[in-house]
Amino acid sequence: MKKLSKNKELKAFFYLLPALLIIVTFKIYPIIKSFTMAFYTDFDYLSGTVYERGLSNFQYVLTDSDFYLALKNTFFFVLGVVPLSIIISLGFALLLNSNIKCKNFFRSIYFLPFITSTVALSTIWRWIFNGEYGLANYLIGLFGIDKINWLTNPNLTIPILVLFTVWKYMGYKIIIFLAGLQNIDEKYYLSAKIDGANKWEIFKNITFPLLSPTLSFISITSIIDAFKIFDQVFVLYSGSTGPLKSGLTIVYYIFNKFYRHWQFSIAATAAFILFIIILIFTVIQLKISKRKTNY
Amino acid sequence: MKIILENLNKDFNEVKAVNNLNIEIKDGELVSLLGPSGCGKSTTLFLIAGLHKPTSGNIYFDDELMNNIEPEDRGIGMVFQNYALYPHMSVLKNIMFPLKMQKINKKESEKLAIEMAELTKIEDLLDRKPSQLSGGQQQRVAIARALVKKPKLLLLDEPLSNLDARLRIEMREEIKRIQKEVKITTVFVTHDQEEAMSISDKILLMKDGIYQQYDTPKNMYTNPKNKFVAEFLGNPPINFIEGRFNKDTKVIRLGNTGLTIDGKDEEIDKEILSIGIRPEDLIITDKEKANFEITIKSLQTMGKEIYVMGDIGENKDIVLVTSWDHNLVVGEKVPIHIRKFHVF
Repeated sequence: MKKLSKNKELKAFFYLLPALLIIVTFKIYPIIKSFTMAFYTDFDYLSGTVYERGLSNFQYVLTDSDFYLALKNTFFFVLGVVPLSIIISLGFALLLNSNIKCKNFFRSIYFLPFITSTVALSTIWRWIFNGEYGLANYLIGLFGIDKINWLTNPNLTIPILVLFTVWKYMGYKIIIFLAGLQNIDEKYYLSAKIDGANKWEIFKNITFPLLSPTLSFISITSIIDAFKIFDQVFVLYSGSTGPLKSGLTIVYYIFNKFYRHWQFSIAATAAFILFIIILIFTVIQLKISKRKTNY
Repeated sequence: MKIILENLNKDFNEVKAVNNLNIEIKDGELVSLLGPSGCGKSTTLFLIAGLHKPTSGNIYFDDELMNNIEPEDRGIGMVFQNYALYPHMSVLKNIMFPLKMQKINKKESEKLAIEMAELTKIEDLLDRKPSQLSGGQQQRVAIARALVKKPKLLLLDEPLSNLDARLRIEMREEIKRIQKEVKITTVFVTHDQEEAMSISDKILLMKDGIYQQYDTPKNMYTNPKNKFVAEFLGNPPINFIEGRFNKDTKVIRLGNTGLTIDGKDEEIDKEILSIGIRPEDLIITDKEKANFEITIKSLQTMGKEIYVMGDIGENKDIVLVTSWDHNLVVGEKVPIHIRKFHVF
């Protein structure tokens, strides 16, 4: 009997092996490698020989003013994008969940940006915000407002990135929220209605608390995604970090160190710090959401 | 509160879920809406609640027309089939919810909620979440929540269908007790005839949206208006035998069996009849008093009684219920007396 189950385990292991090999080679190994690389202070990148390890990379990164700028920009971006995208997509999900006409049509429309490539979308947004002939300037021109140089004004970089990101990921979040909303038994609404609750009270007392598992999932993944922002900046500002580095984010900093300055171990150190930041936020969120959803 | 349904109709697309219903429910009565699934009983309940709007016809509470009154303004408490207890709220919060919506202050509503919990005997469970309760306890919480705002009408949608057999009997007694204690007009939807008969003051039996009979359980059982009513009530179900009535001799001949029963006390105006005999109205007796004999085909022991399936000839089977007093054997012939029969 014991031998049989051993055999079974072995069989399962062999079935899992191919996928495991791929994951280990392309995911696990690079993660470990980049973690350890953060501690290389003197090494030969091509041969892979390490002469010295230490904490001087951390010292470099943590005293680099560019890194603090990247941190600041990223935090502002996260602060803007997470609440805004949750509120907007929850609002649309609630609308789509009520009995309106052409539900599926709207659902598909909202989902389109999510499945379109960021590069293509950024090109469109670059046109929208073009200082000379863009749609945004045309629209505000109708109200008699002067042209704004959207993409060259450093104060507008983060707001534009927030807007773009909220819009792009809205469809995905709406779908997830809709799934969560459809999981709520209609009987609760009927019961609350008979008990005299109006629409807002039903949302506050029934829908919102029952949606909290979905809500915490969305907010955790949104925060993680927002901290990793890179490609939107890269494409929208043609491979630069925007005017006066106003679009320099942590991942952009890592990218610059790695590809542009060839400071591999500095890049690895910054990545390590980003990992720690995301980890802290995720753990805090999990703790909060666990305390809130105990039914 | 008195409830009157007047020419009530509800169509869902082409289907007539409720078809021209006229009934009056008196103040303080417990009325069951009974019928097979899809007969329109739940629809009727939802119409009374205001969760559905009638296609035509009127609903009155006392003398007030209710058609355009929203559910929350009708003064009703409702218990749903799966109870619909809010899973994220404790028992106490659940019971307090209707009061919170009425903006009653917290202290007062807590007091009222605890009173209700005492009435429904769940005062020890107030801090628990619904998921930590058994089916019967959830049922009690749902009733407490429905009653806490002192409604004038209590509506129960298949409240016992999620419970096991023993608990169901206990809870139907409880519902009856609470209803009598609060003296509230109650409408109760069920598909279980035994449940309806055991707790109702009156039963409304429906089929395909159409009214069949509205009467006390006793009258409905002893004087069914039609074949459907006779067949729906009672377990084991009533026996039907085709009969031919001879107007001159006033004798009913049962099928092709050659057996006859006396029909002179009945008011019969047609020749071909359906004779319904309840299993308990077929009595094993002495040869002299017997109307006919049956050959026992099978016996089913139910506990306090025995179901006997017998052949009255020409392969016409009937079922009768008897006590353990008789020593019955399969294949044996026993004389039977018909105590009562119904003509349709």
